[in-house]
Amino acid sequence: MIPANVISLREVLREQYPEAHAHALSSGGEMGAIQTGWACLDGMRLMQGTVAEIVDERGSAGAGLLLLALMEAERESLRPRVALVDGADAFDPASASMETLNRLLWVRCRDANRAIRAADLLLRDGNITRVLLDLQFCPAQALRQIPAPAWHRLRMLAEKAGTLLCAFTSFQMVPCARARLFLEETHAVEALDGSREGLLSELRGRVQQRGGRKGLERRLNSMAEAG
Amino acid sequence: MKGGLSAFYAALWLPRFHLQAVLCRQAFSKRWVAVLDGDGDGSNGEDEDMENKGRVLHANGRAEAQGVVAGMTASQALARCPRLELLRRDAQGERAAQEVLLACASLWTPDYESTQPGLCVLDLSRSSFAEVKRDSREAGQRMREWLREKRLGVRVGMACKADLAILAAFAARPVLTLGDDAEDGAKLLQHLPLSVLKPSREVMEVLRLWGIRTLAQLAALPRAEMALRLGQEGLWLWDLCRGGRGRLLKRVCPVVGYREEVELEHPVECLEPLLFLLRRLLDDLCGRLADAWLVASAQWVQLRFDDRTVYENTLRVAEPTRNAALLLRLLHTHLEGVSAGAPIVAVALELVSVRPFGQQSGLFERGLRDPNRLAETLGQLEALLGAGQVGRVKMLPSRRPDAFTLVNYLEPVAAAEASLPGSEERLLMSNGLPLRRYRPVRPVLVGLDEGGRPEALQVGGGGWLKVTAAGGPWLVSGDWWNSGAWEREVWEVAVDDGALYQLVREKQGWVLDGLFG
Repeated sequence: MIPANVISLREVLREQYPEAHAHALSSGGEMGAIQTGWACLDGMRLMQGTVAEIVDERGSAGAGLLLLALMEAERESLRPRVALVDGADAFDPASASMETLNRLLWVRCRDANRAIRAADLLLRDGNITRVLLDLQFCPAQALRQIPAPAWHRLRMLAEKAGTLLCAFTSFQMVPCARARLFLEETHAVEALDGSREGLLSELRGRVQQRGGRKGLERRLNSMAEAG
Repeated sequence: MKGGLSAFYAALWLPRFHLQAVLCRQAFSKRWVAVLDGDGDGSNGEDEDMENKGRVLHANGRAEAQGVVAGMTASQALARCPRLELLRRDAQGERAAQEVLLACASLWTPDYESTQPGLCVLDLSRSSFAEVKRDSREAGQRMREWLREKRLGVRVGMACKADLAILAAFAARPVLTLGDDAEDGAKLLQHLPLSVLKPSREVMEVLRLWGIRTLAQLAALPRAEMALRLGQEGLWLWDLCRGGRGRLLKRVCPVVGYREEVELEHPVECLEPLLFLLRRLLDDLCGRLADAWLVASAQWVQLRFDDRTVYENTLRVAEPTRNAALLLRLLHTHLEGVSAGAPIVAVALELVSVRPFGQQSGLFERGLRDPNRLAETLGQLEALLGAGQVGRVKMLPSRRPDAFTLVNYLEPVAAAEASLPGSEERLLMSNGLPLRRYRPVRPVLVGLDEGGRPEALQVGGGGWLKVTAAGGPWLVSGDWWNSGAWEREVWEVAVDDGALYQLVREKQGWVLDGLFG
């Protein structure tokens, strides 16, 4: 039984610092899932300690918008340390706010192989809570040469460190991604003048989930039926 | 001397200082040894012309028994003692001996002065050592033993005044403590020669003509007459030989440096032996930091190579520490990325010391779990990707594309950088699709319509892409006032495969600058 004075103290803190309790107050989110406030990302149910993949085949469907959204994450309760492992050195700092840049660790790579090794080092380190791996501009041939065990090793490291690893790719290539988002609708030239908030809220994609609680429940149900 | 003193000083004197400084560094076969004056160049007895140069500064007891005294020429000394070994002064040895003497003083009190070569005075008035208060002779003996282990012979004088303590040290055999009564002290010092006061040559000559040889004889002269005939110096000498006036010590405040340098006997070619050496240096330096309750905020390392090239770098420690293993790991990670064309012949390492501090990050900011580990990881990333490829972005005040630089991620953000840009700029950054750049830019062939607007693109020898919509052009330029002038014509184009490009015309032609998305 929690003492009454502790309960009242919690209420005072909740009123005083609503930002710190935003996560607990958010409705509809899965327990432990990252709540960014953008439907497209929240629909993926991104979890710490997992690997996610965002696929943008044409390059202009909004992957860059989501990359910035995951860096900024202003609606989260606690702002994470973010690292961008830039596989093709494509990030444009002028597109991001000063506040985002001050918290961002930018790792400029020239090829996919080094980007994977850099992500490996950051996940082993465990200090960075969100690693964004941008491989979208890397040549497809180099990306296909990344062996599947490398991705599984990254998944295990992410799980161990409790870090979210989100890969941005031009085709589906991460075999162990727990959540995957396919961006298909490209933008018109008019989108260059629209507000970024409006573009993010309108962004839609096809979400693919693997594993998780529902997957586990499905497997248990099928086992029960079979038994 | 029993306790209850208001002021109490000790003087440590190394008799025959220059000779001791040479002898404590080297062993000599001959038993008759003398040191000559002149510049201390460190050579000992190898100079054939030594006999013709210099005068005897100090001789050991055996040589003195043979008639060798200070002031003799080398030839005169050798005439009296043919087996005498003549030595040159050793400036380095003298510095080392003085440092040892001061180190001995620092063990007893922080208040001590380096009075002259071979002599230092300690203010023991506030010493917490009980034995000094209880038995000053015992304390003096302990000082002697400590210095004897360093191969230095010392005489210790103790008194209630600093100058009186110095005189007591000159008279000590080997420890002498004078009481509060200056008269009592003066009696004990009556046989000391006048030279211990180091008067000027002129005054010494006058006193010699007067027949004054000892302190007692000088002290017997009337003070007023001394002042009349010898002026200020005479008065000062008279006061000194009566025990001196109360004065403050010129305290030695050693500059504490956490630096070690090692010249290697055998050049080192690979990392393992170097790390072994660095570990030893770090253990020593971290021990010294621990003594002073300090931690290291950065470490500076310098490697000198056989081909006379030098490599040096300063590694910042993310979270100041004095953990030698952790500091070594940072060095290891950094040195793995260093290559050289010649073996290492010398190593220098210095720790930048700071006081440990506690810091709380923002209420809604996640702190780093292990900043030092992240620093190490950043070092590994730099080794993998090259210097300047990892860090935090710092924007430069220019509209030129890619006007930024990367700085150390662990450095705190300056207040000026942290401030948010103006509302207009913030609006621009929060509008539209972000750009992702091609580095380097991609050359492109552009077909123009009659109005000069792009209507088709051909990238990298592929097929032509039809431009479905185009915005622009925007003309931007800068740095026109210097040689780095630049000028661009920027277009935003949508092509029929759904991509949105930033197309740029520069002096060299059309290029694809990046992709919006």
